[in-house]
Amino acid sequence: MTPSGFSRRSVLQALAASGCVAPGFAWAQAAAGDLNIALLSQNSGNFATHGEVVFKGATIALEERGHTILGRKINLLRRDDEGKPAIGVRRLTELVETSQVKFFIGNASSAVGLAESEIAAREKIVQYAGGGSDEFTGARCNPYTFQWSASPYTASSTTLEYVRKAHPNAKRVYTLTVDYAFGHSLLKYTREAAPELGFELAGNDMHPLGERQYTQYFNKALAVKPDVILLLTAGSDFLAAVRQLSSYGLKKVIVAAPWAAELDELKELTPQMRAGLILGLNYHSSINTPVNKAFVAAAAKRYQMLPTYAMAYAYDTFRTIFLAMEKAKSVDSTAVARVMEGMQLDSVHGPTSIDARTHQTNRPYYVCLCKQPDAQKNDQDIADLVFQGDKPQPAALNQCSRT
Amino acid sequence: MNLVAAQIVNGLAIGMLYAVMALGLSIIKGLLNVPNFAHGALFAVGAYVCYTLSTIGAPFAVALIGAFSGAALLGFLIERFGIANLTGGSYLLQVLFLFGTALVIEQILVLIYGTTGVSLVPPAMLGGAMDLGFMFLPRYLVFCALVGAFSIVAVWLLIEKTRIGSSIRAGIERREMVQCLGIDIGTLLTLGFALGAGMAGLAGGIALPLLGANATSGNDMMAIAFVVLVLGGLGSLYGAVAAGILIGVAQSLTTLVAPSASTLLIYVIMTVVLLIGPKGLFGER
Amino acid sequence: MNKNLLALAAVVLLAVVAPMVIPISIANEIIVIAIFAMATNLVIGVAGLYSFGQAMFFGAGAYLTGYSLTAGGLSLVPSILIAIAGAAALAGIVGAVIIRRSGFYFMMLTFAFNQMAFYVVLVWSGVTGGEDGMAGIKRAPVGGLDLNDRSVFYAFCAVLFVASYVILRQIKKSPLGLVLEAAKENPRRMASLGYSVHGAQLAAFMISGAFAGLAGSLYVLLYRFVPIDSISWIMSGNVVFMVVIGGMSSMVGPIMGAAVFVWLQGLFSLLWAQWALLFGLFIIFVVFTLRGGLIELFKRVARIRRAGEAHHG
Repeated sequence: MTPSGFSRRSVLQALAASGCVAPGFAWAQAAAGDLNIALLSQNSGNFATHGEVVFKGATIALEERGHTILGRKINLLRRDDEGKPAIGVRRLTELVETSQVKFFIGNASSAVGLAESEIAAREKIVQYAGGGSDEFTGARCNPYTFQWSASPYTASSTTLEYVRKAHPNAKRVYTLTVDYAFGHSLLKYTREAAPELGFELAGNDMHPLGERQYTQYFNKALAVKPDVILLLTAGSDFLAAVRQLSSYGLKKVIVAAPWAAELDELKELTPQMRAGLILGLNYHSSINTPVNKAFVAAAAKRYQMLPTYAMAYAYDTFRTIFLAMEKAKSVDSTAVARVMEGMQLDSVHGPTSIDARTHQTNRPYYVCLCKQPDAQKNDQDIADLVFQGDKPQPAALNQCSRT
Repeated sequence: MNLVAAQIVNGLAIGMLYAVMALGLSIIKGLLNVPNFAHGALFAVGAYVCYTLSTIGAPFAVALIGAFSGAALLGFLIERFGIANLTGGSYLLQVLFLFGTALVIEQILVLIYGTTGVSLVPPAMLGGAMDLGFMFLPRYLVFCALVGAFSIVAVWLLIEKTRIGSSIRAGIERREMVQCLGIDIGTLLTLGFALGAGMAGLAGGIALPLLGANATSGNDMMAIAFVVLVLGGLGSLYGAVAAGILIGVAQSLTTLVAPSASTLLIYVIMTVVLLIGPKGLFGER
Repeated sequence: MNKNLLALAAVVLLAVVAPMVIPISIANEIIVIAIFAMATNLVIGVAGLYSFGQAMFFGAGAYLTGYSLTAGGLSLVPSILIAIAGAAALAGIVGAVIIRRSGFYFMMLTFAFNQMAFYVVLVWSGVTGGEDGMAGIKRAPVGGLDLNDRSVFYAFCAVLFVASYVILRQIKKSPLGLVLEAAKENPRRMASLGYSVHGAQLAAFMISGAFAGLAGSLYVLLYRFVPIDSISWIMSGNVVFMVVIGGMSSMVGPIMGAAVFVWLQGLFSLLWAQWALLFGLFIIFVVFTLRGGLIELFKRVARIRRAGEAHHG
C-alpha cells in the first residue's frame, strides 16, 4: 500500500469498509488464520506527519518478521483518527466489527488514546498507547491497555535534573502551563520535583488550550526576572510560545520544556528560534543500545531518515507485542496481555520491563539540547541527546486501582 | 502598575492585527452580506505567500505586498466564479460554498508545503526587544501595530477619497443608491471581496513571524475576527477597528487576573454587548 | 400514492437496510446523527434561524446521559429523559435570551454560547473528564432487552429515529410550523396578524434542543463514551452543513445529509490522507449542481419520470 495516493488495494479496502462490496469476499485477503492488527493515527490535519511516521515505524517492525508471526500472515490496517477522540472511537469500533482486530497502537494524543482504551477494555483488545497522560496507568488503567511513553513524573524530574546539572546557579523557575489535565499533571509533578533539586517556583500562569498569543504571559513572567522559563505545554501551543519568546531576543533566560513536542514538530521553528532550548523526549535516535542501533540502521536503509519518537514508538510497541505473542505461543489478546504483564525485554531503550499492575513501560526519559544554527549538519540534525533519567513515578502518586 | 501598562501596549499591537483581519470581513459582510468562512484560509494563503517570497530573498515589505495581492487575487476568483453565480439562492448556499472552498484551499496548501508548519524570523532590524524601562517590548510587535495602523489608514483613504471607494461605501450603506449612480454592481462586489480577502492575506503575512503558519492556522484568527466584527456592529466599517483593539487590550489585561479565561472572555464580552445594544458597539443595522 | 406514506416507507426502509450493507456501528451512527440533523433543520430550514450552536444541546444531552449513568447511578430510560429535558431547558434559557436577535447576530450569539459551553466542559474536568472525555458508561438493560447486543441496540435507536422523523415532520406541518415558515418570509406581517413570532421561534428552538439532546444521548450510548468533540463548535458547523447538503425542504434531506457526511468522510479518509480536499470539492459540486441539496436529486428523477409518463400517456 502506498503511504499516500491511491492504490488498488486501498480502494478495495475502502469499498469493503464502506459496504460497497458484499462483506463475504470483501475481506478475502484476511484469510482464515491471518492476524489483523491496526494502526490508528492522525493522517489529516495539523499533525498529519505523525500518521505517516508511525506507519513507517510499524512497517519496519513487520518487515523484520517478514509479515508473519507464529506461522500466520500479519495484515496491518491503517485508519485516520483525525486527532479527534470521537473519530478514533468510531474507526476502532468499525475495525473490531469488520476485521476482528485484537491489537492496535497509534494515537499520539492521549485524549484519543484514552477514548479508545474504553473499547480496548470492553472488547479485550490489546492497546499499546503512546500519549502523554498519566491516566493510562493511573485512574483509567485496565487489563488491556499498556503505556509506552514515560510517566510525566519521570519527564518532569529528568528535565529538571538536567537543568540543575547544566546550570548549577539557576534558582528561580517560572512555569507556563496549559490549562487541562495534561498540563495540570506536569505542573503537579514539577511542584514535587523542583524543591528537591533546589529550585524556587517564582510563579505560574495557566493558558487556555489553543492559545495563539503568548507575549502577554511573557511580559508577566519576565517581570519577576526568572532564571528558567519552564513550558508545561505541548504541540502547536508550545511552538507558538517558543516562537514569540524568541522575539524578545533573551540571552540569559534558560528555556526548558519537559514534554512539549517531538523533533519532527520542531522543524516548524527556524534554527534560531529553537537554539539552546532544553527539551524532554521519549526517544532520541542516538540512544546507544543494540536494538536501537539496528532500528536506526533499518530506518536509514528503508526510508533514508533518522527515526524520531513516533517512528520508534510504532516500531518498539509492535516489536514488543510480537515478542509477547511468541512467548505466549498464541495470538489471543488475553493470553498476550498476561505475558506482557511484568515482561522483561531488550527494547530500543535497552533492558526494559513492563509493570504488571499499572502497565507502565519502565524505561528512561531523555533530555536534548537544541543546536545552534551553525552547528546543524542537516535538517534532521536538530538536537543532541545530553542526559537521561528514569526516576519512576512514586507509588503514592499512582491512582490505578487494579491489583 | 507597570505590568498593566505593559499589557496595554501588548494588547494594542495584537488588537491591530485583529482589526486588519476584521476590517476585511467587515467589507465583505457589508457589501455582499455573506460571512466569509474562507477568511481563515485566505489568512493562511497570505502567510505562505509571505513565507515563500521571504525565503527566495525578497525584502519583507515586498513579501507583505505579495501576501495582500495573492489573497486578493484568490478572493477575486472566488467571488467572480463562485459567489457571483450563487446569488438568489439561500444565503446558506454561499456559506457552504465558502466552507468547501476553505477546505480545498487548506488542502492545496498542505499538498504544496506539507503538514509541518513554517516559521519566519523577522528581518534583523525588527528582531529583539526594546527596553522601555517598565517592560521589554519586542520590536516586531511595534512593527505589527504600525503596519496594521498604516494599512487601515490606507483602506480608509481608498474608501473615503476615491471614486471606487465611495461606491464601495455606498454599496455597504445604501445598496439601492449604487444602481442609481450607474455603477456596475457585479464589478463592485468582486472588487470589494478581493479587497477584503487581501486584508486577510495581509494579516497572515504580518502575523507570520509571530504566529508562524500552517494550513489551518487562520481558523483561530477567523473566529476572533467574527467576534470583533459583530462587536463592532454590522454595517459600521470602522467599528471593527475599534472593536479589534478593544478585544486585543481586554485579552491582554485578563492575563493579569484570570489568564485561562482569556479565550472565553471575548465571547462573554460579545454576548453582553449584543444583549445590551443589539447592534454591537457602533452598528447601524 | 400518498406522498407522506411514501417518504415514511423510505425512511423505514433506510433504517432496515442500512445495517445490512454497511458496518452496523456506522449505520447506527448515521441514524443517531440523522436525528440531530433533523432537529437542526427545524430551526434552520423551517424557522430560518441560523443556529451555529446546536452542538451545545447535543453535548448537553451527551454529558447529562453520561453523568446520569455513571455518577448518578440511574438506569437507561431516565438518563435519556434527563438528557432530553436538560437539553430542552438549556435551549429554553439560551433561546429566551437571544431569540429577539436576528440573522447574523443570532448566528454569532449561538456560536458564542456554544464556545462558552465548550470551555465550561473543558475546565470543569472533575465532572466532565475535560479533554479526556467521560468514560465508564454502560448500557443497562431496558425491559429485558440486552442493549449490549449490537443489533438490539440498533433496533432501539432505529425505533427512536423513525419516531423522531414522524414527530418532527408533523411539527413542520402543524400550525406552529406554518407560522414559523411564514414568519421566515415576513416576520412583521405575521406579528401584525397577531401571531407571537418570537414565542413560536422559541418553541421551535426548544423542540430542536430536545431532539438534539436525544441524539447526543444515543450517541453516548452507542460509543459508551462522551468525547469532548460532542460539544465542540465543529460539531455545530458539521450539522448545519449536513442539513444544507441534504436539503432543507423536507425532513428527509437532513437524513441524507447525515448519511452522506458520516459515510463519505469515512470512505474518503481511507482513500487518501488529503481526503478533506475531495470533501471540499464534493461540497462545491453539490452547491453548484443541486441547489436544493441532495434531496433535489430525487425530485429531479421523479420529475423526469413524471414527464416520461405524461409523454407516453
